[in-house]
Amino acid sequence: MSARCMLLSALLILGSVPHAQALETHRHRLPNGLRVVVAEQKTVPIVAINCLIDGGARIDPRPQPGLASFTADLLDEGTRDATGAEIAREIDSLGGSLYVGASQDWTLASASLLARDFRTGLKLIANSLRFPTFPADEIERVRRETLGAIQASDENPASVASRTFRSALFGDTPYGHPIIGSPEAVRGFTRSDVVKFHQKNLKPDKTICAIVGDISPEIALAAVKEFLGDWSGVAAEHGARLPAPASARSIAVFQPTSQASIVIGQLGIARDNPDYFPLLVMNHILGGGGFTSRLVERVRTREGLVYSIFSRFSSTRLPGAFRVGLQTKAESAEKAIGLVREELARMHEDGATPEEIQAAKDYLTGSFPLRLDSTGKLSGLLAQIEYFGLGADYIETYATRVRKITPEEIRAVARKYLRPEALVVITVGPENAPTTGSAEAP
Amino acid sequence: MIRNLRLLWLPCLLGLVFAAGNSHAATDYRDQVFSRTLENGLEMVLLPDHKAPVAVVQVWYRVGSRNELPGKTGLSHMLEHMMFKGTQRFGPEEYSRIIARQGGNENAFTSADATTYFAKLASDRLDILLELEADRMRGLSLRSDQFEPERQVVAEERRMRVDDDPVSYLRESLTATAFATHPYRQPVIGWAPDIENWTLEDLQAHYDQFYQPGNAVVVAVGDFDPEVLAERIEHFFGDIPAGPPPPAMIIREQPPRGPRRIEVTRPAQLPFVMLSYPAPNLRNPDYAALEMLSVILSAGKSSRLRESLVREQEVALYAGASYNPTSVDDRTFTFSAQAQPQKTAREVEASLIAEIEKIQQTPPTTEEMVRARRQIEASFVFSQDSVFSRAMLLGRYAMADEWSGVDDYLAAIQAVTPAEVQKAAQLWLDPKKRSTGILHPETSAPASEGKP
Repeated sequence: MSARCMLLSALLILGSVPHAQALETHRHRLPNGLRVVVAEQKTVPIVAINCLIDGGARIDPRPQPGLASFTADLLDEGTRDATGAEIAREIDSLGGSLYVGASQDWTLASASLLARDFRTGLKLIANSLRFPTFPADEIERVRRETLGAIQASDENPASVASRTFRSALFGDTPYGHPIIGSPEAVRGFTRSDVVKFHQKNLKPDKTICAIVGDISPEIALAAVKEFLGDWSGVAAEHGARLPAPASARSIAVFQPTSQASIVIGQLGIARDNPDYFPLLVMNHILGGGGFTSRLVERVRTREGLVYSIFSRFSSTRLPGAFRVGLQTKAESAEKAIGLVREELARMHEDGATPEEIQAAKDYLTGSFPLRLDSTGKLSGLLAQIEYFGLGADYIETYATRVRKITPEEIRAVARKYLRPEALVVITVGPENAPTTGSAEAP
Repeated sequence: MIRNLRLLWLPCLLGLVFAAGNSHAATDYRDQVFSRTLENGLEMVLLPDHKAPVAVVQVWYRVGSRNELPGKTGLSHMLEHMMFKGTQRFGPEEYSRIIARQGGNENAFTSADATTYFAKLASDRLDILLELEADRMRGLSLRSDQFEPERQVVAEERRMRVDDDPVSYLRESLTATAFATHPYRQPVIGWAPDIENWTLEDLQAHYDQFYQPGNAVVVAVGDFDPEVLAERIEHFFGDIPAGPPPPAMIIREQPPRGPRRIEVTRPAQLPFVMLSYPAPNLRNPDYAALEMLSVILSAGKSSRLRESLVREQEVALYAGASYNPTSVDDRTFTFSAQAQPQKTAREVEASLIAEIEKIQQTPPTTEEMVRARRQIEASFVFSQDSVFSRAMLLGRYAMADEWSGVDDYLAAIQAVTPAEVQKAAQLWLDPKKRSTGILHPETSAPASEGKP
């Protein structure tokens, strides 16, 4: 074993639950820069692999929104060793599943397998990342399916609202366009665009593989070296263009639905922001905390205006979005928006009560272990801890970090990050003038 | 129908397979489950699973839209919402607040056959949950100041889930067409006029009739000693009086007298096609062949429907089949497919029917049979990774028949021959009994954003 592989082996204890089992994670970096995190869990004879490569829709070339997603979708549609149909048959005949796709920040190749099929699964992932052939006929088929999926998403008012919100908030900066792209761009992608994107961006130095399950760290690492160790190259760097904070604005989009689908929001934070934990607690109280949050209590329980309402800070590499999402019958839209504005202003002005803060901490610390109780969940979390650089002790220290938040910190982050005077409000629904397809109000 | 979208319970979670009793995983639920029935009729099904210090507890009531009368559809689901609105001992939403303080995740869902309340939390904190569940089994206080806003919440839920979702709208329309006499024709969330017309008295009567210990099953899976947990359950639930037995519902759908068809036009982007055939539940031995049929047609990226309709013919964006044998009464085997742009509903319908005819004419290959069995076995192993999935499996079997029936599943699957799959397709996918649902997009101006 190469000495450079062994960076760290940490013993983590889940602090907040009695009789918690120790979770041992092994971290390695291969000479080509690829990082590996392995956690052995012998409870069920399965294994989950999550390989994520930095750079999703965020690094789409400016005139080509959707190229990262389009490229990712093609990774398992033909490799050096097998056609797309053969890969599909192979994974199905193992009873496993293989997924490739792009999100805002990364391209993900993941697999769930019976433990005995681990090597086969990892090899399929490695071949998809390293040796995709991008056959011309598959490109055309995926293009048709992508165009269809974009069209189908127009049926969903929440997805139209979300797309409009992103565009209003981020403009032509990296998070401003839908991951799937625009019909115009997708129509224009050539095979050479895809090949170039892959060659430039999908490289081992940007790759993190988390492997969790009934597999020993030695065997897992040996397989990673065998299939990914001689992968070489360095990914292109991409500058980060940041959006200017948007000023208050409302955009209405016509759709002949019975409800208005509404997104209210503003710029949020990057995941590695040091204020993450106070914001987590603050947002839990505001609208992240399910049935006990202020927004649910006010807009759903008391007023009966919505079925679903939430607030969320996105977890992204660059500063992302803060948003409140809800649906209500068209007649109630204005009232619901007013209530949300009031709640945001109230949090901004007054912060939260000590009781609310204590309840939020109790929930967040008490429920954290529920996020680690399956192989698949743990694998995803370990990959993200590595990706966002949250620290090898993230799981171990989570509860402590939540518990030490003070009411003053909550009030400070509410003041600093919630900007009730500068909200972007998107309304998709029937009451909006259909004549021009869109209307903009101050 | 669940109480909130964001705490996701996917109805399709177990839609693929309900596998159990796996030979190589050497798991036999009958050997591991501790089950007991209290004197008041409450059944408990407790499965220790020590892989993490957590447990899920689900209280299943045998009541759903199947038990509802015309004019009062959706009552079971509405009652599910009201179960969080306080009892004689605890105030509105207190249940959610208490469980959240314990770090627990809780929610509930209603189906045609059952209403289920669940929470997942650290396994040393189950007492408080059991106390709350026992309290609301008979102690619910239905108040009009809580009822009216919640009725509006459910009306919004219906708008969001059905009225503004063209595929759900089609599914609801087809279900109401496929069944003529059985209450399976009714939507779980209720017809819109019924939602406006329920009274507090309706809810009270529904609650009194169906929320009785003899009509409920407590399923728990997690890190506990089952004998200790059984004692705690008896401690909290044992004093609840048995109550009157709920009315027996013996309902059998009249066999269709000919093919049926419904075509709906809604604001939508792409045509959508659904085909529905009457199909038996697990009391009919054909269920295993139908399970294999649905896996061969629809499970995974190499399944027949995807290979043919999506990859080769390029008529559909998505194509699948679904069958769930754990229903109380016989239900359906359903196909669905969304057209690709520029393809018509007719083309999609013809392609689906061609695939059905193909398997009626020629049995599946040995390779397909091996692959389907492997998929079913593996998905059973994967389901063990989640205490919630395991509890769902036991609960659904308990509602449909007996929880222990879960152990017969895999043996039944393994015994299915290619000829039986073909025969089941011939017998059950009978064009004379088919109900067809078509969504025609009504194209208004497509959604467009404000100009920058």
